[in-house]
Amino acid sequence: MRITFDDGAREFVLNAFNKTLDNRNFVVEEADRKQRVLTPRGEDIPLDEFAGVRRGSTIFVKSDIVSLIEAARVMA
Amino acid sequence: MKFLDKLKSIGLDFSRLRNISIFKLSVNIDKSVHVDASNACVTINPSLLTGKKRRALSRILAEDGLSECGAIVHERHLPVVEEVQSSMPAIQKDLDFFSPIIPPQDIPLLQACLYLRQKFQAHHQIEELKSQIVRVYGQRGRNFANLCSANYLDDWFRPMYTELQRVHATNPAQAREKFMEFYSSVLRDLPWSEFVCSRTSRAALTTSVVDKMNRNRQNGVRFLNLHGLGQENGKKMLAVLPEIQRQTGAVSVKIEQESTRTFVRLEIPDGSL
Repeated sequence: MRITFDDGAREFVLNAFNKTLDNRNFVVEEADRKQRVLTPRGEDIPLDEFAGVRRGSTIFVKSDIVSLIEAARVMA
Repeated sequence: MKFLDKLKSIGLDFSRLRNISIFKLSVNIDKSVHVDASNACVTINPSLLTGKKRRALSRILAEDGLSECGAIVHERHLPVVEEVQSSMPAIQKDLDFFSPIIPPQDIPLLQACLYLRQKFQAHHQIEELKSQIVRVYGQRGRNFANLCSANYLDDWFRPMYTELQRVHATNPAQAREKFMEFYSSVLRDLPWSEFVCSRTSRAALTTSVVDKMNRNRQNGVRFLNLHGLGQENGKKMLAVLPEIQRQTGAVSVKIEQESTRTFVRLEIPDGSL
């Protein structure tokens, strides 16, 4: 089974993982909005590049091919 | 499935469906739940659920949905993810060979470049994919992508490691260390190859190749491989060849021209300066 979401449900997905958006539309910690959420390579994540979440200490996925391949490899 | 069982426990019961292939979250439906049995697709609009159900769905999604499905992906990117998954068996052999002998941080780069190579070999447009790799890994990513697409993994890296394993048969750690030096140097400097870039002018390309060949000659290396991926790059490369040959004394000992790639091997004959 695939779990997917569309543009309108992005914030719901982020909130489910205790994340939200700051006033510049970057993904940040809900408990500390000054703290941007980073990918394993240390990149911050603007909303329009937020592609999902993957397993492994809950990793946030950007929309580039490198990140999508990493997500594909952990998907059932 | 725990995820579906837990959804059932909060009143989202899909047990009458024989299986669910897509569980989608969307605010673009006018009811809280929509079931499309023919496509085995369930869509939930969280904003139309009661507050209590929405909070429960949120918790179940994070706790059980992610662990069961591995990833939760924006629907726009699902086709790419599924295409990557179907391509994995074909690149797994190379991944298994190279993953243990390259730096761990390069493994995602290796995966992406193997996928890119597969697309390139199938004659798909790869410029956008390559740009994405370069955005993440910079020049190093560009070099790896170029080397991979031009088959250097099979033609150079694999034979080099195999030879090092043979030479250092009693000391595998030394074989890996020597390979890492070779790998790092090639990836950083591309000492024996030049990939024509669409943004590089003819004059800059000529200078770069001549400089590289002169540097190599001082180290006893008398060849350089030129690669033009794509028609325009191939044309540019062939256009500058006479000037490069004039300045270096090199001759083209091999020229391969295909619709998507051009390859020239330049060698400086023994005895020339």
